[in-house]
Parts: sequence; C-alpha cells; structure tokens
Amino acid sequence: MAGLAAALCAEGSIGLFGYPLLRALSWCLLAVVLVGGVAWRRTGPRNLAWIAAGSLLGFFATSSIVPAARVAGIALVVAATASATPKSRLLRQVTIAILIFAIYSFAIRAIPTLWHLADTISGLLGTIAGHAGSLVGKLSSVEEWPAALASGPEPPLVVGTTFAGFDMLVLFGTLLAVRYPKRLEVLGLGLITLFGIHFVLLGVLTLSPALWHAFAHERGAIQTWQFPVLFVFADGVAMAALVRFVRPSEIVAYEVVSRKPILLTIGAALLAAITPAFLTLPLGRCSLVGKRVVASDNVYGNWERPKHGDYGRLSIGMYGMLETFVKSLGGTFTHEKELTDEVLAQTDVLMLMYPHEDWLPGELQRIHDYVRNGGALVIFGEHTIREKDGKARFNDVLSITDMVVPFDAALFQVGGWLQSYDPHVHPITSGISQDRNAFGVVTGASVTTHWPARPLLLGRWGFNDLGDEAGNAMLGDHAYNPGERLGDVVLIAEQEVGDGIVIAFGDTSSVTNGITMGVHDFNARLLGYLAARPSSPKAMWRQFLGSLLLVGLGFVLFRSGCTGHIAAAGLFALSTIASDAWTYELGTMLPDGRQVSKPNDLAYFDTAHLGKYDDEAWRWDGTMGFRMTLNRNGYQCLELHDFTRERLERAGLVMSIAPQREFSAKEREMVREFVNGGGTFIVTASYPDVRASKSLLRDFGFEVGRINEMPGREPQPMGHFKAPYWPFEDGTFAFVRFHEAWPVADIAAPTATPARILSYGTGNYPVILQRDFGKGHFIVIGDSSFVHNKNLEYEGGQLIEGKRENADFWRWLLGNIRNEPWHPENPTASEGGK
Amino acid sequence: MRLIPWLAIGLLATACFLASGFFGTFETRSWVLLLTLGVACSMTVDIDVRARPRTIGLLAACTVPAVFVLHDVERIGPLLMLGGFGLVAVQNTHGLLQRVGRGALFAGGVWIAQSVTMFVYGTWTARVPELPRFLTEPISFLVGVAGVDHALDGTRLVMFSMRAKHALALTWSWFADPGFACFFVAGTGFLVFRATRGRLGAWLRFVAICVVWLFVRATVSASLYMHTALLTDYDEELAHAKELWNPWFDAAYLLPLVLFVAWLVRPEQSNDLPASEAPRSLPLRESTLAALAGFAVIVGFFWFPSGERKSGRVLIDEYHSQVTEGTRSRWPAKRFDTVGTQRPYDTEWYGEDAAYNYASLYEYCALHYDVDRLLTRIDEARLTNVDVLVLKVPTLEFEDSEIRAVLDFTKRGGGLLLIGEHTSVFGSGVSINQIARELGFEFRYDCLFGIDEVFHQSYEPWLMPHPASQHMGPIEFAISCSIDPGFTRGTAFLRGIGLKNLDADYHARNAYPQPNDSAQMLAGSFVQGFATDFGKGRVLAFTDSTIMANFSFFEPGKSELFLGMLEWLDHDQGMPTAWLALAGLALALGVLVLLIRRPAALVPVFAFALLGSTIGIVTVHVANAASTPFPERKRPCVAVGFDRSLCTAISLPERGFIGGKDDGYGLFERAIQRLTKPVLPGEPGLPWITRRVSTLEEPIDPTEIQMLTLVQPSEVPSQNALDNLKSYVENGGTLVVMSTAPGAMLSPKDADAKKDASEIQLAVRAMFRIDTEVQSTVNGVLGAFGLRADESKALTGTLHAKGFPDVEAQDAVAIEGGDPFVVLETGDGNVNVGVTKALGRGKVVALGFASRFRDTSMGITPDVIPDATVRSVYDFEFALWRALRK
Repeated sequence: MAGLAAALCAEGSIGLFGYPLLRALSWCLLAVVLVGGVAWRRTGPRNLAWIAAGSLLGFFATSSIVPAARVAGIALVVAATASATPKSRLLRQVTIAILIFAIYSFAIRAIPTLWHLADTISGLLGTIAGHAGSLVGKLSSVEEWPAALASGPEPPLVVGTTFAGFDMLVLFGTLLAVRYPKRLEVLGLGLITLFGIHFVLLGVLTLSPALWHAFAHERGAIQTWQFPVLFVFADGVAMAALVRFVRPSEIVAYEVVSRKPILLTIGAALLAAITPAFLTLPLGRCSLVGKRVVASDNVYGNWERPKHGDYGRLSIGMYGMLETFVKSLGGTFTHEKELTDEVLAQTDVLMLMYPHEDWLPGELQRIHDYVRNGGALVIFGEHTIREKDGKARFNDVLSITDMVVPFDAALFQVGGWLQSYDPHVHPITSGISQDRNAFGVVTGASVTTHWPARPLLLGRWGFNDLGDEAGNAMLGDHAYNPGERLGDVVLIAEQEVGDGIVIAFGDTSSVTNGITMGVHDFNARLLGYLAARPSSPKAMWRQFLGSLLLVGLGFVLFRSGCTGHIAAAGLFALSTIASDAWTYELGTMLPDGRQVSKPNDLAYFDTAHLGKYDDEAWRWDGTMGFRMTLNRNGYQCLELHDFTRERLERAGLVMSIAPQREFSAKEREMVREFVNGGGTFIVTASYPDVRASKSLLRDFGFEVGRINEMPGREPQPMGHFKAPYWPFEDGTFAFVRFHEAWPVADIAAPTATPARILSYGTGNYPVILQRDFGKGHFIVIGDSSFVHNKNLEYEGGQLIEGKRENADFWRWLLGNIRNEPWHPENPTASEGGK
Repeated sequence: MRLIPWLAIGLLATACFLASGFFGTFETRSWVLLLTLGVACSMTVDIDVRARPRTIGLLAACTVPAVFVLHDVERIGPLLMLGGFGLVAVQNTHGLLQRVGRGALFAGGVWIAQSVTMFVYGTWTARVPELPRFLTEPISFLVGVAGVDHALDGTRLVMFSMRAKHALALTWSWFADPGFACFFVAGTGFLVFRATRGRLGAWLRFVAICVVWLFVRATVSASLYMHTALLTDYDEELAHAKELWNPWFDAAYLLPLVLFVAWLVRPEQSNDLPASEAPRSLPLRESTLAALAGFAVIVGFFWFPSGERKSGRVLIDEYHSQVTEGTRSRWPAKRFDTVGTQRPYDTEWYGEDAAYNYASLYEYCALHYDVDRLLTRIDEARLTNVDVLVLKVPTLEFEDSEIRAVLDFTKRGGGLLLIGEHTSVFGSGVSINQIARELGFEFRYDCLFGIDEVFHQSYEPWLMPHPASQHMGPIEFAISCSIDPGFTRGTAFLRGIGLKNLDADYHARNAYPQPNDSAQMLAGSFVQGFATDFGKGRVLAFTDSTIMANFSFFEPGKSELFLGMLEWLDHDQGMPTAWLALAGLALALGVLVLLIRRPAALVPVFAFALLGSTIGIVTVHVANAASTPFPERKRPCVAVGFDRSLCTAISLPERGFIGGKDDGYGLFERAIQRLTKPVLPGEPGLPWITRRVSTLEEPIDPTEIQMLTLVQPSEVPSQNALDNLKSYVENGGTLVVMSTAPGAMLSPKDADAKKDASEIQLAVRAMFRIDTEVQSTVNGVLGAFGLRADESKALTGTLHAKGFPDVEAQDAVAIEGGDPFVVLETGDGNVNVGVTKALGRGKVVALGFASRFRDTSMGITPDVIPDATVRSVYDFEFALWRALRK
C-alpha cells in the first residue's frame, strides 16, 4: 500500500501539494516499503545489491519533471524490493500495477485520444455522482444547497480525471486485475467497490461548497484542492482489506513466468526504451529564421512599449516588444490592419490576440482559407468575453475547429499556475520546468476541446469560473461553485485543420510585454514550432503505432519476472526523461541581440543565480521597474534561466542582482569572455550578500566591503543616502539614491585598467565602480536593493520623494554604455514625469 | 523488543523537549499528558531491579537530595525514580505495583538523561547553532533532488519561490531537534544497557536509521516549508516560518522514526543473557565510581574559582560612545549617548535622553568600587592603575594602538567588560568586534526576540549559575544581540532559550529589523553573556546595553547582574578546574565500560551518579558563592523598596518600558533615582536607589532598605508579614503605605483593557464590573500600626503640605490616626490624607492619594518633558522622599 501511495504521490494525483513535498512524501513511503517489505536479516548480498541499485536509480528517477518517469522510479524501487523477497507474490503484483500506472501516466499525456476517453469517463462519473449528491442535498435539506445550486448550471459536478480520482481507479483497478485475473467475482466486487467509493466521495464533493459555506464560511473560499487524497485513503483501505482477506486461490497465469525469461526481459526493456521516444520526439527543430510572423491589428490592446517619461505598471504597454523579440529569433514581425490575401500569402505564422472588432468583409473567410491551405495560426482568447452580439470574435475564427473559448475564466489556486500546470507531450511544452510560470498563462478563459482537437496544457489545480455579465469585467465570483469544472482546465489546445494548424489559448498574457520577459523560451518554441512545423508525435500513424507498443509493453510485463520489471521500469524512466530533454533541446531557440548597425540590444536578467529580489515583479523588492528601465533604454529584457555560453554570447548586457548561488569556475570564465567580447555585466551586492559573487568580482578586480585605505577592517554599513554623480552648471548636482550601500574597492593589479568611480558613499568611499575590460564593461554596485522597485520605480509610477533620480541615473549610465550619451537635466528646469 | 518501549522513549523525549521551553513555553498540561503516557508506556519495559529491600532503600535515599536540589522540570526525574523505588520495595513480586514501579524507574532515569541532554544540547547549539559543511552539502543535494530550486549560501539554504527567496538557516535545532536528541540518547542507553546479545549490531542499526531519517525529515521539512509558501495567497503575509521551530512538528517527525526503529531494531527475546533470579547486593565498585564521576564532572565543569580580589578600580570608557560632529553625520539617528555617565540623572533633566544613559549605573557602581571615566583615547598609561575596564557600545572605532593596549591590559591580568547592543547599531558591533574577535568570539549583528512574545525575553537563572550571574534573580532583557563564541574556551554566563534572531536591516536608521518570522532566523538557545580568559585576565561580554540604562537599571536583577560582572572581573583567575572535568569524564567513561559489561548494575550506578552529581551541584553553589561574593558597599546610599507581594494590583516596569496605563507606578518609582547626589571630586555623593521586595514573609533589614513602600495593597497580609513590617519599622525603617479610593483601583488586566478600549466598551465593563474587582487591603496593613484609611468616600481637592508644592488630587481617601502632614483641601473642608506615626526607631507613613502618582498622571511615558502641572507632581514626590528621609 505504501508503494501504491508513493506512486500516486509521484504522479501528483493526491491533491495540490508542492512538487518537492510530493517527492519527499513518496520517499517516506518508499522508506516504509523498504523497511516493511524486505526481510533484512535473511537478505543476501546479491539481493541487497539489487535493492541498493534499484533504490538509488528509483530515487533519482523521482526527481524528474516527467510524472511517468517518477512513477516508473517508484516501480523500480518496489521491483527491487520484490526481487529480494522472492516468495512475495503481492509485491510483484504491486510492481506490475505501478508499472502499468506509469505507462498510463505517460500515455494519457502523449495520446490525446486516451485523454479524451479518460476525461469523458471521469466526467460521466462526476455527472452521475453530482446528480445523486444534489438529490441527497435536497432530500437531507443541506441548508445552503438550494442556494448554491441555483447559481450554477446542471450538472452540479463537472470534473476531469484528477478530481474523479481516475488515477486511483487505474492503479487499484490494475492491481485487482493483476491479482484476481481468474476470479471474476472478486475482480468485479473490487471494481464495484472502487467505483462505489468514488461515487460516494464525488457526491460529497458535489455538496462540498454548500457544506463549506454552512460550516466554515468565515475561512474564505472553499478549499477542495487536497480532496483527491481522500480517494487514496478510501481506496487504499478497501484494497488493503480485499488483498488481506481474499487471497488468490491458485497460481495465476501471469505468474507462470515464461520459459524464456531472458527474451521477455529483453523484450520488455526494448519496448520500455523505444516507446516513450517514439511518442515524444519531433522529427525536426523549431525555428523562426527567415520566417514572417504577422499579427492582426484587430487586437484588444496596443503595440506600446515602455518609454522615458512614462512610469509605473500601466506604462509597460501590451505587445510592443513582440517585434523585437521575433527579430531576435531571426524572424520578422508586422502587424496589419487588414489580413488580405497578399498579407496572408507571405505569412508563416498568424497571430490573433483577442480580436474584438468586427471582422472586415471576407477577412474571417481568408483566415479560414489560410489555415486550411497550410497556414499556422495561434489565437489568444480572453476571459469572460461576450461582445454585443453575444459572440466572441476569437470563437468566430475557431469555428472551423473543435475548440471553443467559453464565457468563463480559468482561475488557479496558486497564482500563475505555479506547480499546477499539467503539460502534455508536445514539442512546445515538453521539458519545461514549473518552478516559475513558464507558460505565462494568468487569468484567461479555458479552452473547451473535443476530439480531434488535443490539449497541450492543462491547469490541474484550478476551475472554470463561469462569467457573469453583471460582474467586474464580466468575471464571476472568483469562487468554485457547483457546475463549474473543477480541475484539469484546458488552457492551450491544438488542432490540425486541413493542411494547417491552429493553436488556441484562453489567455493573451503569455505574449504581453511584461510576461514575455519570463516566458520567452516558451514563446520562442510556440512561434518556432508553428513556423517550422517539425513532424509531430501527434501524427496519427505515430499515435496508433505508439499505442500498440504501449499495449505490447503492458502485455510483456505480465509475463516477465522481477528482472524484467526492473529493466522495464528503469528503461522506461530513462527513456521518458531523455525524450523529454531531447524534445526540449530540439525546441530551444536562442534570442540574438547582435546586430550590425546598432549596439546589442538583448539584456538578460540573471535568474539562474537566485538573486536577492522578489520574482513577483511589482512587489516592493521586485524588479519590474528596472526591467522596464532597460526597455526604455533600448534593450529587450529577458530572464536568463540557463546561464550558458550560447546565450551570453548573443546578449549585450547581463544584470545579476545580489546573486546567492555561487558562480562556478566555468561560469566565471563565460562572464570574462562575455565582457571581453563587448558585453556589459552588472552586479549589485551588499556586503552581507556578497559571498556568492565574491569570486566573480575578484576576477574583475573588485571587492565589496573592502576599504583600500584600511585593508582588513570590517566595513560599516552606509545605509540609505543619496550621492551626486552629475554636476549641473549652477553648481548643484544630479543625485542617485541608495537603499543600503556598502563600500566597493578596486583591488586590481596596478597594471590593470583603473576602475572608474561612478558614485561615492559615506566617507568618500566608492559604491559604484566600472571597469572596462576588453571591449566590454563590468560594473559593480555595493547595494543589493539598488534596482528594487522600492529604490527605483513604484508600481503606481509615483515619484520617489518627489523625484525620478534613479531612472535618470540609469538612463545616463546605460546611455554611456550604448554610446548614446545622455545626461540629466537640472531639476529646477524640469521635474518628474507622469 | 516491541513498539511500546520505543513509544515511551519518544513520548518522554517530546515531553522533556516541550517542558524545557527551548522553543518557547507550552501549556503544562500538554507535556504532562505526554509524560503520563510515557510513564504508562514505560511499564512495559522490563528493567532489572532485583535487589534486597535494604539496597532498594539505599538507592531511594540516593535520589532524595536531587528532589530538593534540582529545579522544577528537572526534579521530575528523581521524583519518578523515588516513587519507582518505593513501589518496587513495597511489593517485590511480579505484581502490578512492581510493574508500575519499574516503569516509573525507567521513566525517571530516561527523564534525567534527557534533561542532561537538553542542557548539553542547548549549550552546544548556543555556541555552534549552524550545521557543519559535511551535513549541509548532503542536505542541499537531497533538497535539490526533491526539486527545490536552491543554492547553498554558507549555512543557509536559499530556496526559490516566486514570492521570495527563502534563506533557510541550516541549524542543529532544525536538522536534529532537541526532541530527537533526547530520543537518540535515551534510545542509545536503552539498547546499550540491556542484557541482550547483539547490542552493538542493534545500536548500529539504530544509529543508521536515525541518520537516514534525519536527512529524510530535513528534506520533508524544507519541502513542507516551500509547499506552504506556494499556497500562500498573493496578498497574504508569508508567516509560516514559525513552523520551523514548532515542537509539535518535531514530534510528528519523531513518530515515523519511532516506528522504523521499533520495526528494524529488534533483538530477539531469546537473545536475553541469562540472569540470576536471586536478589543482588549493591555493586559497590561501579556505584562508587559513578558517584565520583558525577561529582567530578559537575564540579569540574561548573565551579569557577577566583583568585585574589583586586583593588576595585573600574574605568568606564566614555570616549568611544560619545556623540561628536563626526558621529552625527555618520549616524544621524544617534542623537545622544545612550550609555553616557557624565550628566547626572537629576530632578531638573527630563525627556528620553535623561533616562537613557548610564548615570545611575555609574553612581551605583561608585558605591562599591572606585569608578572613573575615560574621556580620551585608550593608551597603556591610562590603563596602568585600572583593574576593570568597561567598553560599552562604542560608536567610534578603535585604533590599532588602542586595541593593542586593551589586549595587553587584559593579558597582564586586567578585567575587561564588553557591552554590545543589537544589530551593531550605530556601528557599535563592528567597533566592539575589533576587540572581541581578538579574544576569540564576536557579537552577532542581530536582534533577539522571544518566541512566545516577540518583545519579551525573560531569563531564568540556571541551576548552577556562573559567579558573574549568581547574585541575580530572573531578569527581563530589552532587546539584545547574541554572541558567537564558536569553539573559544569560555562559558556562557547568560544563555537564553525560547529565543529567535533576525539580522540587521541596514536600511533602517537604527538597523532594527521588522520582527517578522522568516526562515533565516536561528531559534532556540543563544549566548547573551560570555565569559572567557585572556592571558592572565578575565573577559566578560554582555549583549544588551539597554537594560543597564537609568530607566531599567534598578529593575529586578539588573544592578545585581552588573555588580556581579564587575566583581567577577575584579578577581584574578583562580585555579584551573579542567583537569577535574576531564578526570570526571574519564571516570564516567570507565563506569560506562563497566556497565556495558554488567548491565544489571545500571539502576544502582545511575542512582549513585545522581547522588554524586547532586552533591556536586551543592558544592558548586557554595564554592562559587565563597570565591566571588557579592561586593560590599563602600559608601552609603538611600534604598527605597517597593513591595510586590501585597501590591499586585499595580504594575512596575520589568524591561524599562512604561506602558502609560492607569495601574502603572513606574514613573513614580523611577523618579526616586533623580534624588541622587552625584559623586564629584572631593565629594562622596549619595545615590538613591530602588529595590523590589518580592516577599514580606522574611525580615527586611532597614539598613539595606531604608524606606519600604506599599502602593495600593490588594492582597491580605499574613500575620507573619505584619510582624515583619512591625519589626522593620521598630528597627529604624520607614514604611510608606499609599492608598487610593477602592473604586479607582484597577487590576492590570483592566488597565490594559482601559488603555485601548472605546468609551462604550469602558461603560459596558464598568456596568458589569468586568475585571475591576480589586480589593483594597490597605487597612489590613495600617490597622497593625493603629492607622486607618477611610475608604468609604473618594475625595477630590488640593494637596497641601508644608514645604511641598500644591497639587490637585482625585480619588483620595482620608487617613485616620497619626500625625497629619498632608491635608486635602476639599469643598467640604480640609481632610488629613497624609500622616506619620513613629514606632520604635522608625515610622509609618500613610498617604491617601496614591493615584496622583500613576504613570497616567505623571506624563504617561518617560519621554515626555513634563509641563508645569506634572512637574509640580514630581516636585511633590521629591519633597516627600526628602522629608521622609529626614
């Protein structure tokens, strides 16, 4: 039971828990397996070796971002345990069940048809249970139920596989099938029990909003996100009882291991290795080089970008940075007032961002024809859109597909869908980590998808909040209500239409200026995929053949012995991980800011070294103000998640804020090359935060916290102050403000280029130093918070103490770096901005 | 071996952990329940107590002294053992009582072992709270495999979340909490001292499981922390770090370990070594050695002998803490010298700067020592005729020559007292660490906060206090920093528990951080005072300069602490005791070896070790008190005592802060210090000091406390207390009894409520008499002296007394009997509200207008500069005390 529960933890089926916690929980459960499942005193060295090797490999497999690999890792440990306990039939049966569950976990994300099937069954179960629960609510006079029901449509419960507990049904059902293949009455009883449990619990789930409001209304919105764990407990108890008290009466067929176990082991290993790759890998790379991306001007938004004199959150614009972004990927971008045949004929990728104006005559038909004739269209919907005619323009476009963006909002439980996404196997989604909101979806609508359309990205821990025409922005009540789909919300879907392809988003956020900074990798994949159209594993023949291979793998597992199970589990995990990584690699496109006539305009914001700032960019310690400052000064600002040589050599500026992850020797070498080649590297660090960047700073001849006149003396903090950096004609100065600064010393050899002091602090010790190194510059600022919003730019764009000092300072400094000199004006002549 | 014994150890470990207060205090019933369950489970443990009744009686007698000598929670162990011996002796068969007795014996022994573990753990983690690299690296690896995006930054695990980077402090108390340590030690004893074969193998398995589990639980803990951060709403405060030092979480982590250990560490029952059923006599050799070992370890580690007393010449550095033009520009928030001694705290100077300096400390020290000020930079010559040098919160950095001079002074045998302050405020930490680092320790740039209440740091003296802190009772810190002594030789003479820390916020002008819980906090045990030797000299480091300021110095324990520190430094180093400690440890090791060979001797050996340790504790007390006694006064002073046993309805400050409530008399008490006549060249001066009197059940010496004040007595005095008061007066003391109209008396709870309540709430409270039922017992006291307060009527009018300013008063009561000296002019005529009555060599003074001196009537807070009306109240008070002294 611990092994089964570990598999469910590894898959993420048990509810909304952080991924690290799920892994840690699965390790604890595996510890129980190892403690309880192995007769340690009677285990020989050979078996101990098996256990150690299996556990170690399984342990590493559980760290994967691919759920199927994690489940296979669990299977590996259980299989190793079973191999050391040869008489335990149950452990081997559990191994098979978990392995098949791993296959299912992979298949449901790789084979859309299977997902549609599982979703339909889950939905049906939810519908029936919902009606029953509703009836019980009415009959038992649950006080809040009629009111709760009145606000929602029928059926009262709409769930996908997650909240129907479909994973548990698969896993425990498989265990039953494996254990009682010839005792149909037991098998039947077991399955009925399982379905009964789910039916009852779904009934409870149906009534949960009313019960919640009745008993816990003061605790805020209903919390159902850990509900699936109840399935695990209830199913586990039932199955444990069944397995404990109803033993298989005879040796069943699968337990008669083949006479040629080696062949079966080889077969299982081959299938386990090949199948994931077959159903994952695209046959080509994503690329935008030489491609033309066209967007329609029928867009709810603008093409603005941050500019000087305009500050705060609202000054960021919406899609203005797209042109630069596409250009940096090798393509061209235009936005057109009308999508004529001529325009579409030269279009490789067509982007429609929340079109809301009426289509021009014939335009809609031209778009449809463009797609049918092989065009690539990506369309972004938006939440709760209902135009005056009751329709939504993006659904006009989607009318040629089996996708529609409904009148709802896909709301997440964790902001930015962190650790809540469920990406399906696809060239644009595979291999992307979920620590950050890597897909950029925020509050948009869901995408209703019917076969043959296929989901690409699901929001597992969220719900469809139905729109309300009377609500603010026609949004609903932001709370889960009966009738709203709970969990497994489709956020992005894809469908081939004619020779073309359509990808539909329920939200425009991913391609907006602000969010692109963090999700540029995904956006590049999206556009590159649509432009290059590498052969997708979603091709029907690959889907069909891949399905057969998976079935074959499942069948072979039944006849394999423990060795076969271990081999299959290990290779299956390895193959899924490798395929995922390879797919990611094939989709990776590197923005390139190098241009012949202008300075390199690609600025990276180093996120790889865990800088000391808030990633929620508009918080007090956030950095959106600085990112927009870079935009205002001609840079395209993107986050640098992968600190690689390839990315650095294409960039013009890298900003690292109080890094807390140390720069490796290789990375320091890369930085030296980068600066030597003409790049500008800026580091901010206060003395208490300097440990991780100390060696890098030393490479460039700097030390934070050192006073050259008093070597070895501990520095005193300078705290908050302002320092002059630019003299005006009337004898006054332009000032730059510091949040909590520390002295910085030039410790380079006398032969090195002397550092230029850009600003002094208390005691006339330098706090900003710049050294020219090769063709580039290295700048160090002795203040971790120097570019935090609180010291640079407020969310509302208000002046800071009546001034805009640091925005001007950066304009002056970046202008110098780009050889576009600018200096501040005397504030007595002009003041502030908007 | 089954589950229940391990469960017993786990329950006892958790109970001991909770009871210790390491992570703050917990409801007694929670840990008592765990203790009870632990004792109940212990009944399944079959420990060997086959012995003759006389032997059992002897063993029981060995535990008796510990019951009396040990403090609260530690006392539980000997009590359980004593009860266990009793039950075993009563029915020495295999009956229920026998089983209960054995269980109590086992639980008692485990409790004692765990109490010792808690002490060692607290001492260790206060010195070295953070994990070594060989542990942080694997933790980092595992947390990474679990999928947390993180970096190892020194001893902090910086973990990524969108909301913030969480710099989780990798500490012992997080990785291997005290409950685990208790479990580990008791489990080791349980396995090693059993008469079974394969003990070593079982113990190795036990260790292996514990080590693996520690890493797994570290990963779970970090992951759980990140999970909670993940689920924190955007607009919600990130406030779940407190889970990292929640013992209930630690208890939850202990449970799986108990199960795993019970499952995997199971020597077969058949492996029990054969044992004789015959009653055994006392294992004399082992027991004697154990007693000696216990004694030697205790005395060796906790006896701090002093050498000759020096001449008592104390030099206080004024130069480095002064406010200059330079410091004003560097530290604008430092408006005045908070530790200056030069301007006296007198009757003319009011406001924050008047109360926030060391003038009272200086005058008080001058009572006992020859005190002088250092107004220039430190040099060799100036330190020549000095015994103790006090460096306090230095804002100005020391020059290299000064550092050398101080170190040389200490090496030659001088005493050095370093006083620090939180967060290196105004550069003080950096300056003082210039010297401290040379001595092998440093002041952290942090702030300590209470885990129970953020701004509440109580210190309870330990069982065997260091001589520097042996004369003080419990004290309340204001805001201290902590000391990082690392592995430097020395001892923490003040070690606080139930604390957490935060690093400085260098953006704030006083570097004081917002006290929000965060993962980077260290929690548990901290060194707040450190004692070490350097050359031939002694060094003390203290971390909270605030509580030595005028406004706090005469609160309970603080002046005693300061004098204790000076007195310790005013002594030469004594004989070394390390050899005794080492000898004790060697003996203990020998006893362990003997015990492993003969586990049946465990119980007697344990009892004798307890006896030896108890004798050692008593010896340490006596020896420390003898070698460093409380210094005698060399000059006279006027001491005014305030009773806290009968006067529980009023509040007096404990941490220097006055809340401005109606039950407070802190300003009234503090104003007495202002009467001090400072020491001037050629003039001895006369300090006025205040004291709190915690009980009247013991005689009060009028030569020590010349005036004893009872403000609004609300507890019924016992006859013994009244006799002591009479005796006090007859022997020359002045007893001042102050009353007010009963309707105006408030309980502290009511005063709290009143401070923040709206008028409607106050009306409701008055209507239903919520919390206002404070009974005046003033006549119970006055009656004993033939005086009486007429509490039937609250009077309002103007106070008149000869030589006193006129002051308006409300809620006054008439006083009957005695010789009137204060009258209240009311609309109905004059009423006596202040009388004196001579008795023996002393007198009793009864005043019926106490409420006139409430904090709310004297400016509310000490920072307020009084207007003419309030000033007249102060002048009235000054006149009163001067008159009474005559």
